[in-house]
Amino acid sequence: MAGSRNREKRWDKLDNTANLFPVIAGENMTNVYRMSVKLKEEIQPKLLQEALNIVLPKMDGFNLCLRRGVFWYYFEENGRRAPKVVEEHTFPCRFIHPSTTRDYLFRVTYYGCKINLEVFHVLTDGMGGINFIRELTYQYLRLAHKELQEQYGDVFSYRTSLNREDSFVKNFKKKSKRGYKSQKAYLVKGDKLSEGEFGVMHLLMPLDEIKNVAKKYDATINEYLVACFIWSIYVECLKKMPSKRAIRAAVPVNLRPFFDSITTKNFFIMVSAEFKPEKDEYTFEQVLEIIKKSLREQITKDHLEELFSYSVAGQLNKFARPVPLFLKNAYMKMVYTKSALANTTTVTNIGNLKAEKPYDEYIERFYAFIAMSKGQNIKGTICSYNGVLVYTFSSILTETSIQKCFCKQLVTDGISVSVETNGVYSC
Amino acid sequence: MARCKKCNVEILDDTDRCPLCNLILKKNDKEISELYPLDVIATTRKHRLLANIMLFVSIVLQTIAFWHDYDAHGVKIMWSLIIGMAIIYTNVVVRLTIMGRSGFLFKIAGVCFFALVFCVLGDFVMGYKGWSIEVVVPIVMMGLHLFIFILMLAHRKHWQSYIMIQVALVAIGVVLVTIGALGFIKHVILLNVSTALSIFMFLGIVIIGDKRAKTELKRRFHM
Repeated sequence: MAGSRNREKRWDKLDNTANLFPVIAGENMTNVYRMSVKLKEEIQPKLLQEALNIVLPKMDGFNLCLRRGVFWYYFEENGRRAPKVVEEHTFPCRFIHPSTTRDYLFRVTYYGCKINLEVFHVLTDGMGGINFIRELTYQYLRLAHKELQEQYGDVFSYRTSLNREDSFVKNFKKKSKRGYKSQKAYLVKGDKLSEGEFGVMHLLMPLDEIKNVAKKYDATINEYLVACFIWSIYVECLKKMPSKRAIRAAVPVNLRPFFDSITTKNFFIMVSAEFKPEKDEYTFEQVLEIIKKSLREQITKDHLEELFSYSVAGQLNKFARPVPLFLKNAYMKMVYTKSALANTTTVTNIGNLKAEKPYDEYIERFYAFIAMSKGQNIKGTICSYNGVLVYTFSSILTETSIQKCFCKQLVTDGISVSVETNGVYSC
Repeated sequence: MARCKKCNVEILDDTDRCPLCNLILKKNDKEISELYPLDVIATTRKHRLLANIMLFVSIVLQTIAFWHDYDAHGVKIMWSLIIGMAIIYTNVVVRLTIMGRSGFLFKIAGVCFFALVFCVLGDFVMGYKGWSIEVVVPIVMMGLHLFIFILMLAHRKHWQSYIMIQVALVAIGVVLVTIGALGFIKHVILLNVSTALSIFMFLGIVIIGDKRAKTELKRRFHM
């Protein structure tokens, strides 16, 4: 995007999902997610800043600022200097005030051997975040190890996508029914951490072990871990009693493989893994079967298409378009509040991350997690790299009984678990 | 690093108790993970303590003011309300400008907006003489115009990004002038002057700014 000073700044519309984020985002519901990469060496801040300065102008999807129009929000090319890289000094996933990041909608921090990328979800989903942190890390490593730079030069990986198409609009089907459930789900409540505090707990486990266990249950890793989470809520919060409200975990599904897209804009949709305890004492196996069935019924191309088509049709409606932004915002807030309470939690699976040779030997681990949202006081994020799966609980509750029950289930199934936290539970 | 015998998991943190079950841990020689800065917790708590102290002092001051006012004038409470507004305004300003992390433009607009609201409320508390809407509002609007003009000069690369504030000032001015024309505001001279200034400033920017101004407006008003 670099160009002459007098060139007109580029601008772009927000994708269908992104329209919601600026409306609902604030200090208490930041809509920020974090991706971290832990290297095998201490981070050098100057080199990290230099790497960001090199990578950012080439990343059209991150070189943006958010502007408010009369009818819609929109992105505008930013073009300012990259935001300052600082040492991590706050709790993770805090609200991104554009004034503190030179109007960019992400921040980069470091701590010890770890590089953190925090992204406001309006920009992109997990796939876009991974693209960025991977390229940033590669560039950092090229600066830190001159032999890499000499060998590979400052060019992006051929796997990195810079595509910014709106895949929602490209793939939506007209005349779709409303696909989301809006019945209130069971909500996890309890004593909260003090205002501004945020609990993070990473559970590290060998990927092979969890693969074998999931195979034993004839489930995918995702189904198994979602079921473990729902089981933990059932045991710890409902005490294995029947409930009028279902325990529902929102599971974001990456739509790119279904619609042959490589966009770096948001392109995901939520499905719900639902378990409604109607009798006493379900076993873990029974819960897992219910979750498997619930997820498999929903993750089909037709159903996913139906889910996002309804909201895209609303966005493109010729009567809705001229409605002033503040009225659209009020409506979206209302709809969001209703739908947010329809889920107990969210479990995101970023997938098995890979780094290219020769960079992979400098990288120890990837971590990812998401911020809290209305009614959802605890969430889970899954990612794996180099044979280690990291399941991260992000929570604002003081209690760790759900995490404990989750661990217990894993350990019972024969998985070796290691725990890392951000220290909030030991103070 | 340590192992929790009850949970049967490895704890990688530098801690003496298990974060899951709170059992005291026996450390082993394996390396400890330092993934997060621990001083963040203390810093966050210190900031919150300061904010809470400020809130507490405000409540005490307001209560004392109310009590004195009531003691002197009975139910005709007046000056304590003004003190109350000043205390709330101080809290708003401190939270917005010192503790808040919003941009300077938002902070200035916020401080001005709340100042205007409290001026209007103050006017009403003192038996509405109209000075807040007839004098203070247009003066603040004119001040904002001057300020925006200076900002446009200072940020010549992004001057067009201030255009929507001008649009908002024009809209507010038109609404106030209409209210004045309907006879709800007595002295409308300053309001008319500030609204005319808003319109001329906006027109000037659109005409002189030419393509950049028009492109900005097209973006802001795209449907």
